[in-house]
Amino acid sequence: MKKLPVNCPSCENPLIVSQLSCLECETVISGSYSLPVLLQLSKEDQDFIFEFILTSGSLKKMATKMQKSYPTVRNKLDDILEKINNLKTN
Amino acid sequence: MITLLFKPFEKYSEQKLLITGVIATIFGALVTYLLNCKFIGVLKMGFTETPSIGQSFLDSIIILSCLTSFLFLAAKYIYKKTRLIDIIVTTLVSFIPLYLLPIFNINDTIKIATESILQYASPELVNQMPLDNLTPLVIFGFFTLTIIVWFIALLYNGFKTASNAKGTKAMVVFGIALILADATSRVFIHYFN
Repeated sequence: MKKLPVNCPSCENPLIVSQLSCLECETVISGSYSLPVLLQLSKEDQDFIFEFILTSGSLKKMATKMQKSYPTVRNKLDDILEKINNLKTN
Repeated sequence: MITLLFKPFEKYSEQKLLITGVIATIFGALVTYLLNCKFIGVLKMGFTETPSIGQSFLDSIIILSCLTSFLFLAAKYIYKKTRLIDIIVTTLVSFIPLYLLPIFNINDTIKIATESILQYASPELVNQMPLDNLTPLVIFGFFTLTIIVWFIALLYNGFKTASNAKGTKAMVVFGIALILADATSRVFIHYFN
C-alpha cells in the first residue's frame, strides 16, 4: 500500500487535497480540501487507532493482541492523543 | 534478548512480572541469608554481618517498600495515570540482578578478603598488602559496577514505562527518588536492626 504523503517534501508544510478523481467515469474535481487530522498521523499510529476501535477501546485486549504490556499500550495512546491535539492546534 | 534483559516492562504483563518478582525476592532473601550478605540500603550491600533469615526478609521488605514509595510519588508527579502495580513490578524485577552479587561470597570469599585487606588499612602497612586477597575484590568490584548499571537501567526503563516519562525532567526526578529511597531505607534498616 502506498504511503499517503502529508507534508511537502520541498518545504515540509502540510499538504492539502487539490484533486479527486472517479476511476469509473473519470470525473475530476479540483479544489482545496485539507486532510482530516487522523490521515495526518503516521501509518503506525493510524493502525493503532484502527486496532483500538476493533477491540472496543479496551487497552487490556490491545495489550494482549499486540503482545505488549498495558502501560506500553496506554503510553502509545497518550502519545497519539498528544499528536492529535498538536495537529488540531496547528 | 535486549527487551528481556533491559526492557521487560514494555512487553510482559504485570501478572507475569509480579510472579517473577515475588519469586526472585524470596530467592534473594534466602541467598543473602545463606551467603552471609546483607542489604544495608537500596545501593549498599555488606558481607561483614551475619543476618538471621527474618532479618534478611525484613531488609528486603524495607528496601523494596522505600524504593516503591519514592518511585511511585515521583511517577505520580510526572504522570497522574501511573498505576502502583507497575511501580511495584518495576522495583521487584529490577532487583533481580542484585541477587547475583551474594553468589561471589560463597565460602565467605569476599568477607575474608575484605577483612584481610582491612588489616593493612594504615599508611605504614599499606605497602605490605598481599595481592592474593586483592584480586577477588577487584573482580567483585568490576561485576558489582556492571550489575549496578544493569539494575539502574532496568529500574529507569520500568519507571519510564510506568509513568510515560520523557526528557531531562524525568531523569532528574528519578535520580532524586532513588537517592531518597536509598537514604530512607538505610535509616529504617539501621532502626530495625
